[in-house]
Amino acid sequence: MHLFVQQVINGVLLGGMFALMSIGLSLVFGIMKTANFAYGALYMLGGYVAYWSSVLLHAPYPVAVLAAFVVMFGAGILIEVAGFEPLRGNEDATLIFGLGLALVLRGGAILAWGSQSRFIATGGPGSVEIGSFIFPTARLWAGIASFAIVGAIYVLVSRTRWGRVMRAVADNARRASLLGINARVVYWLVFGLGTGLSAVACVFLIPVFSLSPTVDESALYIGFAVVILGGLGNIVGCAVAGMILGIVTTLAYGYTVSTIAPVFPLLVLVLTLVFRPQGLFGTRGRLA
Amino acid sequence: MSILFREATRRDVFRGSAKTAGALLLSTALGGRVAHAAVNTEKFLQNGKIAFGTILPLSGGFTVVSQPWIHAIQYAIEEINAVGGVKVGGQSYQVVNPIGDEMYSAAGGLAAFKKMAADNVHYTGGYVSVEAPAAVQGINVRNNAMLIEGITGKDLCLTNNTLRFYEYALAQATGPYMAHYAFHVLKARRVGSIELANTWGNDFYMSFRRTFEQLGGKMLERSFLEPSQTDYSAEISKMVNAKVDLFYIIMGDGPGSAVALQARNGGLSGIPLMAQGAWGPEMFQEAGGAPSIDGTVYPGARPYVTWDEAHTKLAARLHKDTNLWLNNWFWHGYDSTKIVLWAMEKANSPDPREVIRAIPAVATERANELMIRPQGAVTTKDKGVFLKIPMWLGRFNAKADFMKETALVPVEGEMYRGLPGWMPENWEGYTANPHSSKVNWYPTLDELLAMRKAAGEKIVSVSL
Repeated sequence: MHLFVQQVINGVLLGGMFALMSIGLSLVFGIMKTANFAYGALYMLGGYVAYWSSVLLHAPYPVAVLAAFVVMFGAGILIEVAGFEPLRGNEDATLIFGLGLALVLRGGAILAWGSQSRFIATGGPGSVEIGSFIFPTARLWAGIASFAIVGAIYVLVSRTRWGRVMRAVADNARRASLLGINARVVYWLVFGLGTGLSAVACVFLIPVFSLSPTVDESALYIGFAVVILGGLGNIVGCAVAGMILGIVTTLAYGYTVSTIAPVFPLLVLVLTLVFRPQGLFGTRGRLA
Repeated sequence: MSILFREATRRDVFRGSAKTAGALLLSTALGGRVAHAAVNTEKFLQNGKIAFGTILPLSGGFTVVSQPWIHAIQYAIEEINAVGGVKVGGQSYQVVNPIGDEMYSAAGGLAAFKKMAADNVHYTGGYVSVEAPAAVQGINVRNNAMLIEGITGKDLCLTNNTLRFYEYALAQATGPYMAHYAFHVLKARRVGSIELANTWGNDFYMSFRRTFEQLGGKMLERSFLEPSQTDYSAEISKMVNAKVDLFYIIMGDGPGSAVALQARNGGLSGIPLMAQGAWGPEMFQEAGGAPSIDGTVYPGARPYVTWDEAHTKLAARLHKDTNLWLNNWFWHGYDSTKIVLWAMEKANSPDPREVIRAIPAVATERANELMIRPQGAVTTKDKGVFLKIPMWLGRFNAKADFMKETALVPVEGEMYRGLPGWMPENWEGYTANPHSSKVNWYPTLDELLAMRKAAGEKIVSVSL
């Protein structure tokens, strides 16, 4: 029983990290209806911004997080303006652009920085024990950051004026323009925010998973799995889906073997799509 | 018509069959000799050059492993070319080095090999994934191309393949020493392990387990991993719950370092680690990651546990070219390439079927010119040639200056230094079907030593 509880704790922490990985993707998909297949690569790039800030500029960890957010927010706007915006309305072209960008960024990262694993230490003990249960510190921080960011995005989208503007654009960009909202700028900001959040997620996860040019794959797959399970673009769904997939993944690896375990989270995803195609929290017209 | 309906006695049938069989045998033997004699060596020598191909991943996470290897082969070839190339039949040939992308997959390895075979490349070295050389096995013989590989796993390196040069230590030979060290020096009694879920991982696990259990230790938790896996919290918690006092990580590169990092932060902070697979200075992770790896016990070839002028030159060059450091995988490619090219000179032929027979002599006669100091090679009837490579158990020193000193410091204890990384020539594994259940595939250390004694094997100590 003790091991089972520990595995559930592991699952909750992993779920928090999954939610953190996918929040940026969910936001962009929810507001802009853009399936950004470069998401994983941008996530990885944000990690490198933080890593080099930390190693070359000796920036403290919080400053590295901030640097990653700011740089990738700007990069996100640039990519939206130069890449996705001209292709808007053509889903095939958007998809191919995203995939192409991901390949270029990953290959470029390998050429520029090599494929070895990088790491940022957060300092302090590696884990804390509460009773006889172990909480790895880095995972704990990532979990806390995840819920804080999910909560902040939820409040931003559903309780603020800016959120109303975003939802208006998401609902119908042309109608929003007639009301005086500059949809283009909203798209820029949302894409920038989504990309910045992906970078923040990566920085929080470096002390757990470390960083290499290939972390983009897992971020992309997990991101899409969480977003689809939670309901496309639903912020709360993102947190709940992350948690479900985290717990299922951990229990699967804990009680089966690694060759079979990956099937279980996918099974949850498939069954959800069969019985509830819109995802757990997906409802038409709702964003948060 | 009458001949078709002629009555034939049983004796006639036997006589006829015997004559036919004899004729077939004679024509095959003569034909074979004629065919062999008629091999056109021109096709081995494209435009007056010998092609030695490299098949390794050119992109993705496993370039950490492949980059030092790719460059090691290049550097060895450049050294040979600089002194006049390979001399065959009174002529000197420069060596060219086409590179194929293995893509860390069977499909990638196979496609790269087929392209090289079509281009008349008769030597391919590298192969980092287990799946790639498995896919190429057999096809290489049909194409008269020598396969130079170091990935272990009995279902991989003990299959029939007359044109295989296996250039690294066998898991069966080193595993028992790892177990002995774990039990007697590290005082481990309860071992947990995680291994790559394939024949490579299984070999290392089993060869460790048999000796460790014979000594009185217990193997408590056996976990598996996939190369794409990133989270190991579930496996680590099982180890913590089982109260293991040693953690054996049978996987290198990114997944290996991630396992170590997560183990250290997940409740296994104070116990020793042992490792297999591609472990090099790249594993240490900068900016505070080193403590998760420091002190891990790992088997390395001689050049990995020593340092001299050659190391300094090669380290500087490799780091400039790849931003990486010398590791076991570098030495895989570096010396084995030289051995094969020197064997061409020894055989006075570029034909792989003759070259492979010359490898054991070259590995003995020119051992002192090689960094790994081999003690010859084992020639099998139909499974290729296995290099006899001495190995050292060492501890990773994450604080080392990787440009100036070795990252792997040999441990104390004579028996762990220069241990034979090959199986003795009388081991039935060299002749048996790898799927046979009658073979002792994973002998204990006692059984291994008895086997060496029976074989009259003489092991020369190699100085550091």
